[in-house]
Parts: sequence; C-alpha cells; structure tokens
Amino acid sequence: MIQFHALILFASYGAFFLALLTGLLFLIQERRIKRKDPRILQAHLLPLEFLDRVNLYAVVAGFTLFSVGMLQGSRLARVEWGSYFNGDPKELWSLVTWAAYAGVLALRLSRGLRRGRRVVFMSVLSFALVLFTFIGVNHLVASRHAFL
Amino acid sequence: MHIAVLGLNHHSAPVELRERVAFQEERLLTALAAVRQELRLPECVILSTCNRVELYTVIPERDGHEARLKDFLTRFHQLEPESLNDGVYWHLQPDSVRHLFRVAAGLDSMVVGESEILGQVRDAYTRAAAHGSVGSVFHRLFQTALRAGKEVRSKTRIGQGAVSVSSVGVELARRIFRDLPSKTILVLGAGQMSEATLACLKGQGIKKILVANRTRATAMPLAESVGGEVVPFSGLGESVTRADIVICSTAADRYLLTQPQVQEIMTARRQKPLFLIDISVPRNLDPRIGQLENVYLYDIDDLEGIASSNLQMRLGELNACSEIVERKMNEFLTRFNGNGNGSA
Repeated sequence: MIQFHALILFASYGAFFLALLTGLLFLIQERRIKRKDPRILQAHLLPLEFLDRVNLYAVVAGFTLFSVGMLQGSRLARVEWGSYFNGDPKELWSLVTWAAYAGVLALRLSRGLRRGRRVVFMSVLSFALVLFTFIGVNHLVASRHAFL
Repeated sequence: MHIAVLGLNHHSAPVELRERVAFQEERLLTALAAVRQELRLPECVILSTCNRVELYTVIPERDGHEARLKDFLTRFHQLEPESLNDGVYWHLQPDSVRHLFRVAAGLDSMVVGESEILGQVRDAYTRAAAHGSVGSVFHRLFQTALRAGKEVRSKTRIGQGAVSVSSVGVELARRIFRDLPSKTILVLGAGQMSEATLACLKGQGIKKILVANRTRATAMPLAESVGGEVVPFSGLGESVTRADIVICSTAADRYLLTQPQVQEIMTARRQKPLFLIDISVPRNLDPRIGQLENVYLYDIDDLEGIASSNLQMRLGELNACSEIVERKMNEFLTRFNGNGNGSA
C-alpha cells in the first residue's frame, strides 16, 4: 500500500514538473511576443496556445493524482498512526501544495483568468511548493515521512 | 567541353526586358529543341522564372558562343538586335558552375535564402532531361547543384525567419495558435498589404474569413475572391469576438477598437488568444490594446522590424553559405576536369 502511495505521488510530481516546463516555455515565449522581440522568429518554439493547453492538462493530471495520493496517505496514516491527519509537516505542506494547485484550477475556471500568463505563472510558482513538500520539508523539520 | 551560362536577372536587367525574354511553358520545349538543332549544342537547360532567365549550355570551345546564344534569344523572342547588349551576363566555368550553385541555394535571389528557386531549378532540369536535352555533364551538374542548395539550407540559417511583412504576420500567428487552419480571420478594410497577409494566412489552410468594410460594396469582391463572409462594419465587437486573427487596414481617422472594448471582447471570447495586425497608417487600433492579457497587437513598424532583423540574420549567413557552395563547386570541377573536360 505504501508503495502505491509513493508511486502515485511521484506520478503527480511528474505531471506538475511537466506543467512547470510548459509554463516556463509559455512565459518566456509570451514575453518575447508581447515585447515584439525582433528575433522572435529566429527560434523554433511551440505555439502559446499549445503550451497553455498542455500546462492545463498537466495541472489537472497532477492535481488528480496528488489528491488520490493524499487520500491514500491519509488512510495509511489512520492504520499506521491512528489518525487520518497527524499534523506532520509533510501532511501540512501537502495540503498547502494541494490548495495551491486547487487555486490554479479555480482560476482556470474563472472568466477573467481562464488562460494566459497569470494563471500559467501561478502553476510555475506552485511547483516551488512541490519541491519544498517533497525535499525541503525533511531537511528543515522532523517528519514522520523521513524515510523519503 | 565547357559549361556556360547566358542570362539576365533582377540584378542585371529591368523587369521590362526580363518579361520579354522569359520563356512561357509551352514555348520552352521549342526553345530547347532549337538550341540543340540550330546551335548544335548537345546539352541545354533553361531556367525561366519571374526574376531570371538563364540558358545553361555545354559548349565545345570557349569562344564564339556568347554571340550565337544572344542572337538566338533575340530571334526567338523577336527582340530588337541591340536589346540584349546590356543587362545580359555570360559566365564560363568555374564562374558558370558557381553561379548555378548560388542560384540553387537562393543566394542570388531577390529575397535572399528563399526556397522556391530550388524547386524551380529542379523543374527546369527535369523538364530538359525529359526532353532529351540533358547529358552526362548536366545530370551531374544539376544534381550536385540541387544537393548544394539543400545542404546550404540545412546547414545554415539562410532560409529561416520570414522577411516580408505578410509572412512575418503568418509566422507570428503560428507561434500563437495551435491549430491555425481552424482559426477565423477578420479583415477590416481592404488594401494590397492586408490582402497579401490574408493570402499568406489562407495558404496555411484557414477557411473561415470575415470581411468588414465601411462600404459593403467594397467588402463584397474581396469576400467573394477568398470565399469569405461579409460582416457589418457597425457591429465590429461581435465580429472580433468570433475572430482569432484581425487584419486592420482602414483609413479611419480614429481608433476602431479601444482598450476597454477589447477587454469586454476578451471576456466574451473566454480569454482565447487574439492576434491583431494593424497595417493602417495612421494606426486604427488603440496601441494600449496590446497591454491586455492574451492579446497580441502588432503594427506595421513591428512587422517590418522583425522582417528586417531576419534579413540581417540571413545576410550574416552568406559567408557560411558561400563556403559550402565553393566546396561543392570544387568537388564537381575536380571530377569534371578529371574526365578530360574544361580544357580549351
């Protein structure tokens, strides 16, 4: 069970990483097109609309996997540690990460920020939380997830 | 045997002369036959495009053939005897070989690095070969020239980056939109440049075209010629909501679209990207529209700036291209001279 928990979360990190990559490419290219960089056509770049779509799909996939992984984790925590939520730093930061990506998806559903730079930027920024939850938290505070 | 070329191009002769010397498709084969029979030259390829007319021939000795070929051209096209005194060039190898390789690579083109010429050289060669005007020398020469042209394009950036305003518009659209053929274009006003841009975009497979003009009668012919739909000029907001690309080329004395208007439009179109090309001078789209998210506004100066930057990039590649041409030419000439050709 714990392997499934770890595996599904790794898969979600992979999807979030794809969102980060497409997001960064989008932001760089969008900036060049907006600034009317005279050399914009001298590089082969993917269309903005494509990058925006892949960024959205990657966030949806990552968020879904992350949610399943968290639910699975909370069930494991109930069995192993007696409670669904134990206030462990990893659990707390996972919730923050989940909320950040939920926020990105909520923005995607709003009228004004359905597409484009700001919502893509949010998805790029959210990856910092993934990194912190996955690696950083273990180095800064004691966690029951120290095996990772 | 010597390889020679007699020709005129956009550098050497005005269009008035080029168009008189150009070979129409149906007369090309007659001309090839005449060169073989009348002039008794075994191999001949005629390259005839908008910008150049060139007769490549294999001649037995270096002297005397320039005048014979000029005389042939004058008679064939029924020109005045002195009309080919200026503007016509005559090259013997190695210059003739270098010239063909440079032509095939697009280095001698009006738009440096354009790729159409490579296909035109291939067509000229295959047509002459089908007619029996190509022997072992020209088979090897033209195949090497085509390979040189391809190598120049693949190993340098000579063909990259759009260098005309209309093609810059298309290339930008390709960097914004994922599936260009599914998009809708709105043309505001009519003008030569907006029609050229529209033609380029249509060439990408775009089928949905809306045309708006202050006078409906002006919009109709353009809409009919491109298979588009005439939309009212008064309800511009609704049309822009439907469009993904807007080409504006009107002579209005005010902005046709302002920032608040486009902001509303963007909400209505659920923030789908909008690409606006304002070719009008003075500009007819409020420049502040470009500050809005998911809206990309380019005016004529922006497009020309990119075209000029790309042209500079291409010109910067000329030395690298010439090196490839020289290498390919030397390879060819080494083999050609090694077979006992090229001596007087």
